[in-house]
Amino acid sequence: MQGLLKRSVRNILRIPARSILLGLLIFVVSFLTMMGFTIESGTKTSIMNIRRSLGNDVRLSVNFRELMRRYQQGEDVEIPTLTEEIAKKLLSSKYVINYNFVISQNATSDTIKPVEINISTDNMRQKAGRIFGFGRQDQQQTFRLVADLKPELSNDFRNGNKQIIQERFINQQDLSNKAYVVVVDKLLADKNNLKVGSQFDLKLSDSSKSFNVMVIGICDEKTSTDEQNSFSAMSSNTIYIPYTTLKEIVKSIDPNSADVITYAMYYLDNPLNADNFKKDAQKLGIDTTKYMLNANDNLFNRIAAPIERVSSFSRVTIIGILIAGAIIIMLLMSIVIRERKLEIGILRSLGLKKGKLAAQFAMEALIITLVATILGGVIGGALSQSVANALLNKEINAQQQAFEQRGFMMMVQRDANLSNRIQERYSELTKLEVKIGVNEVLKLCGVSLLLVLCVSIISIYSISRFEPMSLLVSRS
Amino acid sequence: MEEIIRLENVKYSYKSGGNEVRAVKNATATFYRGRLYSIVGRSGSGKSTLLSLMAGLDLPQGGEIFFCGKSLKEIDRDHYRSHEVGIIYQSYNLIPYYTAYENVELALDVLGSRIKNKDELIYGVLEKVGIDREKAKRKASRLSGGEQQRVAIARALSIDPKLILADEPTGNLDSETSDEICKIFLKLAHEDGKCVVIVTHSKEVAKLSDKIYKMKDGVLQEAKLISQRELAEEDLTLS
Repeated sequence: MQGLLKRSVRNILRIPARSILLGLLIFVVSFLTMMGFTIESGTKTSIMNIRRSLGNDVRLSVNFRELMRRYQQGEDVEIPTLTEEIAKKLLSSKYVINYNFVISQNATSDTIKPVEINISTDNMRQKAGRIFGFGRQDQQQTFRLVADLKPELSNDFRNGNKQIIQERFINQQDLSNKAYVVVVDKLLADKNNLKVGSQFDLKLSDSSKSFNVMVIGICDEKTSTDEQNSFSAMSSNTIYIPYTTLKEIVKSIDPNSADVITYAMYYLDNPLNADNFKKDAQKLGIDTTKYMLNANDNLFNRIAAPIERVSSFSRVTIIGILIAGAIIIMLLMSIVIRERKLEIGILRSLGLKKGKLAAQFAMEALIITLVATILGGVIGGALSQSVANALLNKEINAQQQAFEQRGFMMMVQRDANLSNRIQERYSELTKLEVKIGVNEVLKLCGVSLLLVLCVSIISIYSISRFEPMSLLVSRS
Repeated sequence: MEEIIRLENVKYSYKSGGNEVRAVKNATATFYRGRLYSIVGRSGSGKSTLLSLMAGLDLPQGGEIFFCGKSLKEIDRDHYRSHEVGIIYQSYNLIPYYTAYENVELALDVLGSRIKNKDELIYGVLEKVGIDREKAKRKASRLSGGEQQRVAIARALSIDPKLILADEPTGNLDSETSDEICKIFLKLAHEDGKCVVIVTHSKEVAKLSDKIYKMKDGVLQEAKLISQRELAEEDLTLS
């Protein structure tokens, strides 16, 4: 062993050009793969952080996108209804730790007027209508009634977009009593001179039957910038009502719709289990052509897209480099072995066994690989943050340009479902922090061993082919 | 006399340019300890192939070679080459970027056993063939042809083999150096008790041998034990 090591070191040092060439090649492979591994790992962490930051909630609703697709293909489409019975199926998933069912209905009133929406462009008006569930014609005439089975989980309040500024929000007692009480927005209250205790009439759209409700609390937007004002106004026409009350009103109009809900929210034990939960849903019989589960997927995709592109770029780079590197190293080794035929012949004629000779070549490769990998790994790791930043900035700029062209930029910054918490962290979430961990080091060691293996395979193959007699006799 | 190596109807052929070349045909001979043998013959007569078979670099396709009574087929030929045979080539076959010392050390490394006073052994064997310590530290590529051949002999001797096989050891050397190398071989056979077999073109080398074999078209013929005068008259015109 000592002789083997000594001979290997001697051979490396005595023919520096050969060793440097091989070492340089392995250095480049190690350098680039280390960079790839750290960037890849950084993107995974960032994507997990984004998923965590978007919360652990998953929304079940009618899959209008799929229905629209089928409709556009000329199929006869019947709009399915989402019922409590269907939504309750998912409660048996082990990932669900809490849930909320929500009914949302459009309503009109003869006694109060909605807050006027001042939207500058038709385009934005259309988007507003899409988000808040009313058409362009009647958007200034309607209110949106929202009823949560669990008021403490009401979406607008939970994600920090709204807060109660007077009295209280709807509670369990209101639900138990099926009380005709509501919480209104400050803008709506101001416009109609409503105070806690005021009463007014409402009627559901498509119904002439009106009902009287009493204001028990007033809420307000937490933050409101100029560009958000239009959306704030639309949101101001949202009126919160007890779940049981709205259900009773709907039932009185159409008994068949008593069990219908607009959507269900499920809160998971871990945001990273969103995909597992979706798989569970399929197992539990949720028809994905009719219903969709959305774990803030649009938002997630929008924030994570540049990072995912960097991730796939680094993944492709790693694979490409490994394949190209292995091929080049094997070719180089076959040339080196050819050049060392005399040495092989001499050693074999001296009685050195093929295995020991192959071990010597492998040892030489191992030493060169070890040195080149350490250098490549350290330098690659050190430069990976700068490279990751450059790649990510390029991707973000490309995405921003694409959004600007499509007029979506504002939507990215202010999504109806985008909580203030997420907005504040938007730039932080789209950062890519790479670091060298044990995993990356182990992976690089794996790559090094793979390279040594490539070199050894070529050595063993060549050595087994060469016979000392032909090598030396022909030379003589 | 102690038999070192015996050939019994040894046959060997190989393909060259699509034709089969019968390099060795039914070669039979016995080589003893303490003797210097020469195998002479024209180029391509099969001398070097026969020597390679005796060195265990390949096995004969017919017949058998026995080393100290054991067939080469039955023994580990790598072990045979590393422990029992010292091989010397016309082109020296030294590793050019190793020093003379390291080239000799290589044979000892292959031998595998831990050797006490390795330095002394290596320098001793090099001095025996006329390579001093200063030259021992030079790379093989920086030594003259004669010096390289001396290093090759030293490498062969370092393992203290029973059998020394030399393929045209003086082929690349001037006559003066050639004489010196021949004296070394003679001494190895007659004083150190080695069995030395030399394949050669040279009359001068053959003259020193205890026995001469002639190789012609793959056939090994035992030359009669001849006197110096007779040898001078023998037709060894080879090329």
